Amino acid sequence: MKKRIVIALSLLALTACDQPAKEVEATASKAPEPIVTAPVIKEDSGYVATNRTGKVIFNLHCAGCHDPGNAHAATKQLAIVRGKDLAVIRQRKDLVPAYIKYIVRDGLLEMPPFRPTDINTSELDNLANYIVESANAYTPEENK
Amino acid sequence: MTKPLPQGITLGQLNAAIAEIEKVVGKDYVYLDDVKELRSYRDPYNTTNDADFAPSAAVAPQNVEQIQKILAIVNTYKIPIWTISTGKNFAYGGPAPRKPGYVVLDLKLMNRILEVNEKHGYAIVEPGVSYYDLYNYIQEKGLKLWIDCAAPAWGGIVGNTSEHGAGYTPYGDHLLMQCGMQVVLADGTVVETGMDTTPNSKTGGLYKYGQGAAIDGLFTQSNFGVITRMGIWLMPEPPGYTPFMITLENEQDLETVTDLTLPLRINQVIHNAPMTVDLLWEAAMSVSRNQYYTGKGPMPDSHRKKMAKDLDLGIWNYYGAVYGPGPMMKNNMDVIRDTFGSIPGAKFHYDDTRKGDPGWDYRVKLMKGTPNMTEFSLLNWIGGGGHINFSPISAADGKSAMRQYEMIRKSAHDFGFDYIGEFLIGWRDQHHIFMLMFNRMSAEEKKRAHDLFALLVDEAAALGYGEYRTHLSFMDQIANTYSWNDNSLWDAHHAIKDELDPNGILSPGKQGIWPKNLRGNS
Repeated sequence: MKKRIVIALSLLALTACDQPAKEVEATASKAPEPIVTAPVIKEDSGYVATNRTGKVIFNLHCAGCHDPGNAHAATKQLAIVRGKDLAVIRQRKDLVPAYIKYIVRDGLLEMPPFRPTDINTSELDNLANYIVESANAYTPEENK
Repeated sequence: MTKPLPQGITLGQLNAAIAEIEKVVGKDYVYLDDVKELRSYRDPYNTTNDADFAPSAAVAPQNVEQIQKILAIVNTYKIPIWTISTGKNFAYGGPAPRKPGYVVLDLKLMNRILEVNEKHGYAIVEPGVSYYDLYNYIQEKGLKLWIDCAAPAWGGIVGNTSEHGAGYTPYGDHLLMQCGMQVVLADGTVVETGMDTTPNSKTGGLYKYGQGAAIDGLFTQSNFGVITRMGIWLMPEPPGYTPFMITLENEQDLETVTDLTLPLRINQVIHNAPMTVDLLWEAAMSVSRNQYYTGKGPMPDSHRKKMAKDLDLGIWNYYGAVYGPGPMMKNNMDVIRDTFGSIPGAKFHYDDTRKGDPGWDYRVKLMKGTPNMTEFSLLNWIGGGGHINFSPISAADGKSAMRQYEMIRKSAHDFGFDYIGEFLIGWRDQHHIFMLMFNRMSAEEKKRAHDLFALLVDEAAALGYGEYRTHLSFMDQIANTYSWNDNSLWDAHHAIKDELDPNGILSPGKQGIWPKNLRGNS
């Protein structure tokens, strides 16, 4: 307990990017390349913030509740409280980036807030712009 | 807003510690501004006030070395930190700390999937990896593996497993499927458990126990260390999958269906953890309460019956699944049909007739480990979003299930709330989840929900039931119900706590485990 065991972290961080952390002996199908999902660790403390697109962020954090259809909680609730024309976030033309960004960080009724580690500041800009651009590009069925 | 401070810590001490932490992780990864970012660390669904759980700061390290340095700093200043991973432990507190002023140690940025081994069926992940992340990775690589996710799948493997969470495939007992972990102790020591503690380990993801005491469980629902890596077993994609649902017409059918389940479950005729879900939970996937009843208090039986008829739902709705080659599934399904078909009014449902019903669709996804967020539809039932889960363990026994159900329903109704619940039959036990829904914008309703919950803890304890997990607000009360032999279990927890974390910096109060300097003040 008193002995301090500090593992070689920088080495681990580097090797983990190009080979499995632990190989299993006699594995017929070699373990796949590990993925680096969001942050990329360069050398030592050289940390690079991610800048994922609005679409990636939307699919990861928003679509589960805000995509069209009855499987999506927020879409169903917005249809009830705001009407079906305002139910699907990516089809709404009344939302502006500042409002979207505020709600993402603050939450609203059923929706919890999202932390800067979920969605960082630049990604929040990307997300807000993506939602607004998607809505601008959307044409309601009856107008097609 | 005045900066919340940990007990006994001055603003000057906090600021000095934060300045040192900023040098470790960089200013961009220390969150101090309440309006811009820190408010996102609160639990929006609490039954009291946001201020009761308001952190003073959050810090997001990117590797173990940074965690070690942060721990050294907070040990010096004796500042409590509260560890979270994906921070989605909603209904139990979300990312918020137990007390105001704690610094949140947010591990979300440590989100590497270090290994997925298809042949042996396991993954090794960091705390920030969500169920969506792991699922997406497996899909991208075309691996023939399933994950087992929590119902709202934005949670993560490390957080959910260390909270003793449950899922819906045959690998649903998450801690049972955990294999190996890396933990940083309060003094900065890094420990590997299990086989990965041997030099050049080849079996870290394969065998849980190593030699000597198996200590992994010590680091779950506790505050003895910071888990920085975890192995989790993954189920090989089976050759076939048959989900089914049985609707049951009467409240008393809970007793029968539970008793019929136990032998099928422990003999593994039913492969996953079957669920007995009440009418309102199921209905909330499709409709909200106001569509059927706008009065106050619990929804009357007449309205419930109409809703059940409209939605083709039972008073109870039973879900399960079998997996494997076709002939094996057929044999098992024959036994299941014969067994449950004996309940008068029981009706079987399958994909051919049920597909498109959001209640069915999301269960089908969960029982094959496909992440989704449909269960959040529960929050639409009354609107306003507030929810807190009362989660006692019941025997997988009909009379026990009925006793718990009747106790909770009566008190919920007395307090003006609907009973919305489900039983998940693990092996010999049931997790009984009562989803207490309230409007979080109503202070009166929040207080009523809080008082009901506190009463339920005592009522359950009087009947011999304890909870498996709970919200920040009730950790102490529930810890006090685990009281046999003059609280000897919590005395043991505290002895370990004092030895491993003498300055009491790691998540003080987690699950009612307090460091000695704060014991008695909670």
